Amino acid sequence: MLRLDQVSLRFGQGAEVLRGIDFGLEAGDFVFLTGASGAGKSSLLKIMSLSLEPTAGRCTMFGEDLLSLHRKQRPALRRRIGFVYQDFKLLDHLSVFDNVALPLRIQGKNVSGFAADVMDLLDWVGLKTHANALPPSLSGGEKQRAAIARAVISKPELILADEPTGSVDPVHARRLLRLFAELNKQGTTVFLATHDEGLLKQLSAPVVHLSEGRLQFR
Amino acid sequence: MSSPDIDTAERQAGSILQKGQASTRALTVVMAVMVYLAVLAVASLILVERAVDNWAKGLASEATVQVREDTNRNIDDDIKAVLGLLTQTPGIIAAVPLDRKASEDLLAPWIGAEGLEGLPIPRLIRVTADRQSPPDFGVLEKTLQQAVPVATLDTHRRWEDELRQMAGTITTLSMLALGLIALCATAMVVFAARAVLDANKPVIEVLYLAGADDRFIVRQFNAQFLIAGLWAGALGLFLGAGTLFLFGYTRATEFNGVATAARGLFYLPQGEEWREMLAFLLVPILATLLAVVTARTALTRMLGRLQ
Repeated sequence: MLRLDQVSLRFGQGAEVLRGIDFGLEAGDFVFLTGASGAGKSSLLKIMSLSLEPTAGRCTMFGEDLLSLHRKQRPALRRRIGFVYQDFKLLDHLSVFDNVALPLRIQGKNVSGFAADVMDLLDWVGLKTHANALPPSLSGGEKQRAAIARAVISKPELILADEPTGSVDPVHARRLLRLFAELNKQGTTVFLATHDEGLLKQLSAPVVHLSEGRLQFR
Repeated sequence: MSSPDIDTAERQAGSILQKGQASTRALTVVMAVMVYLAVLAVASLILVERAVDNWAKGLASEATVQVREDTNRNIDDDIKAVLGLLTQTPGIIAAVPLDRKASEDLLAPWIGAEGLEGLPIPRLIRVTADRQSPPDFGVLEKTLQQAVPVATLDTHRRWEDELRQMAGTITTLSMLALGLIALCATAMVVFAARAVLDANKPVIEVLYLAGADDRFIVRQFNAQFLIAGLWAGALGLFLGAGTLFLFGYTRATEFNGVATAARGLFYLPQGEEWREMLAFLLVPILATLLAVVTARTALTRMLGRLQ
């Protein structure tokens, strides 16, 4: 499903953030990515989500070479990925419902067709009563749950999550992890970056560790 | 903000972009001014055409026959022959000869009133033609010259030609003004598109990451430009109509012909006038189309350069 060969990344003339990363994900995998803050976890996830181009190396996803992909082909590929951003990236002028429903609207679906599904998902992440609320009125944890709901609403084939439980309380963190595990059981590939060791213990899944720009398997 | 009882069935798909952004509001105002100017330019085309038509009809209904005195001919017989010919010509309503005294009075300001008695003074016949179906003055002139060689017909055609030339110049200038207005409006829409795009960069980023393509994003923006175009069109047309009303129904202009023509714009159109009314209605429609098409083209290009 996803393959990185000798991927390196450098910003300008600075030091290499990622060095010769060789890594792959198969369909149905659930893999944790750990590493200290600033280790390059977010950068690695951004390369995987086509937001960042590596300085060197080769990336393939769903059989497509990401570096030679024309910009017009990217949207179709992105629609197969659900991304949870560390900074949530919610649109402040849209309600929680509209934020979560965004990927479905982009896919051209009608509100009447997906409204019930969105509400069910908001209920699952504990935001049903906040469906009409605007993001600035939410707490950090609530924003994170809304961002996760948006990432999974379209049942993507691959979920890339950057610290998805970083701002939520332990109860909600466990609940969200169960959501990812449930989606994984249904066939969704999950690659989850976290520095929360407690989270790793809750699920017996492979862990890869990023340190000094290199990926190590634990 | 939160509501525990949400009726999902009643949910509407609203705009993904923020409403009422400063750049589209400014565009609405500027486009309204452009539409207003375009309405005035179209009105000037129509008013000048109508006024020239009115004046030309007035000129076309008046003509003068001049009968020169010839020592070998009897001028009274010549006048009788001309009058006979004129009264038999279809399209001539009246032919009134001026007596010698009246002809002398006309010449007096140039050559003085004294000593005119012995001079061969030409005699004039004032001819009034039917405005609706005037005679063919060209044919009439030839017939007159064949019947009475000392008679000549003056149809004021030179004045009419000058009027038509003047109208042609004003028409060209108005078309030029319309072209410049369209150019300015296009530039404004491009500037507004750039401003809207800059203001919405975070939204565009999220849309791209969620899998939106350029067409989806442009569609979201286009709705804003469509609304701006429609508002500007309606506002500009309303202000233009108000100005024309002032021209027609107050003493805003000293030119009676223009005022009459302006008043004519507020009556139900008949026959050919429907085309003129259509030209007015086309202005806001074209302005809206210009806003939408230009914005779509500009946004597609700009988005293409973003990634």
